Formats: sequence, C-alpha cells, structure tokens
Amino acid sequence: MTDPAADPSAAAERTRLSWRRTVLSGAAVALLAARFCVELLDRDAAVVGGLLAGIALLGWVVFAAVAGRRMRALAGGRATVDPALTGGGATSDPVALVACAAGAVGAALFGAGLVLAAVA
Amino acid sequence: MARLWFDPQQGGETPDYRFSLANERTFLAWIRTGLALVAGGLAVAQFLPPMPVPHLREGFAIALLLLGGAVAVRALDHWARSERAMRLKRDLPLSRFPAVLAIGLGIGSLGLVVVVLTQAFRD
Repeated sequence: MTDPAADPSAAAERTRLSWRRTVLSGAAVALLAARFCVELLDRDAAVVGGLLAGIALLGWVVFAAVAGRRMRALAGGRATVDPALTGGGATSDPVALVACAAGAVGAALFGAGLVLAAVA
Repeated sequence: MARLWFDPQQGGETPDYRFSLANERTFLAWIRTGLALVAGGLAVAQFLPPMPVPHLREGFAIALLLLGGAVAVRALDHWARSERAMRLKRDLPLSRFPAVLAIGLGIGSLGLVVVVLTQAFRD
C-alpha cells in the first residue's frame, strides 16, 4: 500500500489549499453582503444595517472556523500506512461539507432577502 | 439507499484516500462556483445602475443568488453520490449539470451585454 505520509501527489496539502481558497471566496461574499447591508440601511435604520452586516461577517467567521478544523485535520494527521483505516483526515468529514454547503445556501438566501427588502 | 446518501460513509469499502480527497476537492470547487454566483448576484444588486425595465436588476440579482445556492446544494449531492459509487465500486455518476450551467451562464451573460449596450446607446 502506498505510504500517504510520503505522497508525491500531495493530496492532503492540495485539499487543504482548496479549503483555504473556499474560505477566501466566502470572505468576498461576506464583504459584499456586509457592504450591501450598510448601504441599504443607512440614516435611520443604521443600527439594523450594522447588525445585519455583523451577522454576515459572523457567518463567515463560523465557516472559517469549521474550515480551519478540517484543514488542521488534513495537515497534522497523516493517514496511516494502511489507507483502509480512517484516521488522520484521510477520509472526508461529512459534517464539514454539509456546513460548507449550508453556509453557501445561507449566503444566497441572505442576499435574496436583502434584495427583496431593497425593492419593498 | 437513502441512508447511504445521508451518510455515504456507511457501507461499502473505504476507497483510496486520494480518491476521497479528490472528491472533496471537486466539492469545494463547486462550492466556490456557487459562491462566485452569489457574489455576482450581490454585485449586480449593488453596483448595476437601475435598468429601464423596472426591477430587471433585482430579478437578475435574485436569479444569480438562487442559482448560486442551487449549485451549492448540487455540489453536496454530487459529492455524496460519488462517495457512494466509490465505496460500492461502481462507475462515478455522470452529470450534464456542468454543461447546462455553462450554457445557461453564457446565455445570461449575452443577455446582460445586450441590456447594457441598449441602455448605453439610449443615453
């Protein structure tokens, strides 16, 4: 069996970098959403706008934490020599993936809510 | 089968970890595609000037946002089905979705170009 610790395909490292890219994409979305909140609700409703912007940024922080946990599992834990064993981050963590997809869907619905609020 | 979708890692044989991680990277690439669509929708809502047709800008923005969310859901479904296929030693699921998405985005972009140009020539 191949020894994943000496893996020339660097699968674990590439997966970790993929998570990092996803976190960066999430940051762009969070910033756009926060800016939209602040722009929509200025003057009288500035507090509400600020709160909504804070929710958007907090959502990203939570996502970054989930992704960070997954990245540490990939970096630190080497898969054992026998890949059939599931230790060391060698197999995907479905919870992290579901959280990731839920975050993206949440961002989409959050944005749609803002657009509808702007029209109303 | 449904149980296998909700927790694809029950049943079958654990695949080579490199295939699992490749599946995970594909999932993340799709998520980034969805996030890019969401970012596009937010950008259209904020930065596009109002169009002659009322609420066309908002419609565009909502369409992009919902499309981004749909791509994210589909990413999770495709990951689960691929994981299950690897464990049961079956062929990976085929999908027309990438082609459909590409064609749809091409048509949408063309439409947006037409709208922007007609608005520019009107002024």
